[in-house]
Amino acid sequence: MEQLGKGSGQIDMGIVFHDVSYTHAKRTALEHKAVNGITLSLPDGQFAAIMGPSGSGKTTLGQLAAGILMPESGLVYVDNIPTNSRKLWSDLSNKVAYVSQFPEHQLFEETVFRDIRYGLRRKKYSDQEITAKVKDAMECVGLAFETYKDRSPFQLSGGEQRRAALAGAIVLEPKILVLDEPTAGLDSWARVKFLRLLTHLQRTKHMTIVCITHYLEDALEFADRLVILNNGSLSCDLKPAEIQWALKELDTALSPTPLLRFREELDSLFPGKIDSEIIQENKLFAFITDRLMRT
Amino acid sequence: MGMTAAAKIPSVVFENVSFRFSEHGEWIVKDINISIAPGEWISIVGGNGSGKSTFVKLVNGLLKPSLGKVIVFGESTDNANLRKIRQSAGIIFQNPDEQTVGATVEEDIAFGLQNLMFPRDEMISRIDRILKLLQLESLRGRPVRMLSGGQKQLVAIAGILVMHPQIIIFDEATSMLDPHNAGKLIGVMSELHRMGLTVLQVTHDPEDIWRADRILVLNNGHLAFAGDIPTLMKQSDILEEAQTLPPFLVRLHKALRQKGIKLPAWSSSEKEVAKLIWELCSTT
Repeated sequence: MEQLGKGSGQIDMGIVFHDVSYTHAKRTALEHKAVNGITLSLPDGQFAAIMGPSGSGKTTLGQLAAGILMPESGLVYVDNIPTNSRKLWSDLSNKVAYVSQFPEHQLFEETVFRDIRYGLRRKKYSDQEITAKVKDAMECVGLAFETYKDRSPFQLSGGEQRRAALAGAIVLEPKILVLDEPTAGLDSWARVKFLRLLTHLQRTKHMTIVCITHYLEDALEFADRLVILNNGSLSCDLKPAEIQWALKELDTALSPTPLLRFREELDSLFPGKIDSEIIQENKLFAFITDRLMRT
Repeated sequence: MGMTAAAKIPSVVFENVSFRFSEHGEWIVKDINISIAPGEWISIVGGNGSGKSTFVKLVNGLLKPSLGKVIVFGESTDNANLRKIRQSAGIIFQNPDEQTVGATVEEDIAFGLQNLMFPRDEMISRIDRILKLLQLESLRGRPVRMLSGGQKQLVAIAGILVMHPQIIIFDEATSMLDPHNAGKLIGVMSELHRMGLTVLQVTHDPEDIWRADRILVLNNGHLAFAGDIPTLMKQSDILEEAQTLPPFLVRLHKALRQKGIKLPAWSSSEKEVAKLIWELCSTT
């Protein structure tokens, strides 16, 4: 760790993709190039939304970032460690946690407590330490320890199960969290709550969040950056504030959200007055009530 | 005369319907009364666990009410009419992988008709028509397992439409699709609605409710609201209480109201609302 940092101090910490390709089902009839020549750098502490149509390579990119898949060509680095380095595998697995799509399918222990502590089983912690860590992780995702610890994961609601799965990932205290469509199937309320929780983790624990999502609304509301894939290649890499421009000028395969459509209408009625940085709902509403309508 | 009398029969009626899975279990759906007219588009919203899926399964007899009666086109779901009711009300579920049965697209669509021993000619002509309607002709001989999620959902719809149903139910049918395919599926729903089918849509997407004639809000098994959007807007806390996000423009209205700004009119179009704000700004 130490010596690595010294040797390559000029490289940013975070996840770096260097000309990465990956083919599924190689040399079979189903052979399919999922990711094709992607170069990308996700610095520490960023919330990146990975977007694109079905089959564009999002899940594969997420699994490459988490070190679950190894690139077929090119390299993926996590804090300067190449993910295919066997020697440094345990350093790597301490840094990144991965939450798959429908993580509730991976809940299998009898109680929430046992499920969350599962990832700690090989670490040399005392029972007391384990309890403290599980408690922290549960409180962090909004599952009250005493209320939930002895409950069966199968009796939780969809939103609670997602939070339990997230607690199972953050109990390992990763620096980087990769999530594959974490809100699919949740009701709108639970979805917003879950995403707020992710930005809370990003801010309070300085966690890097890589979140695969179909929802442009959510990406604009919560992410610092939109990485849009198409057909295995990087099609756009934008700041949320650039979205209005990108939807017009680039082939993003995304449709404008109600907020963007409304903003566009406002913009034509109040030319030059609507700051392009305002694409989050609360900011837009506050701008309308406190500035636009007060002048 | 006969026609008008038939037209007056509601497509679905719930009479004091309650449901629980076991005799001492918790009530999943509690004392629901509602009548749905033929050709109505109904959106059903509510948080996870509010009873939405149970509600639609009661409609086509997949579940039977523990108390009360569900009546579909004049016939109760709790007797020998079940087969008929399943034909007249089909459900599309969330997961495209769990609702196809045949090896090829054509076999999958034919499944229901084969079970009813339909004559071959009639079967083929129905399949032809539905494939055309859903623009699936090019997939006819394809293995179902090789299709994308969006295509599988369309095949599942085709399998229901060949039965000539009067009611089609979508239980979060777009939630596992990407926006492009979800949009396509919504287009198909609109087309079926135009053709006169009763559409029941269970959804988590706040913007979906704009298309509906009426919205049902379920909260903890209770029917907290049944009515159109303007009526719902007057009681906008109902959605939040049912753990459901209101649509964007409704959230905007609320934010304005909280700052003491009241728009002179209500509109569901972004353009109109922007104009109302502009007018308010230029008059003060």
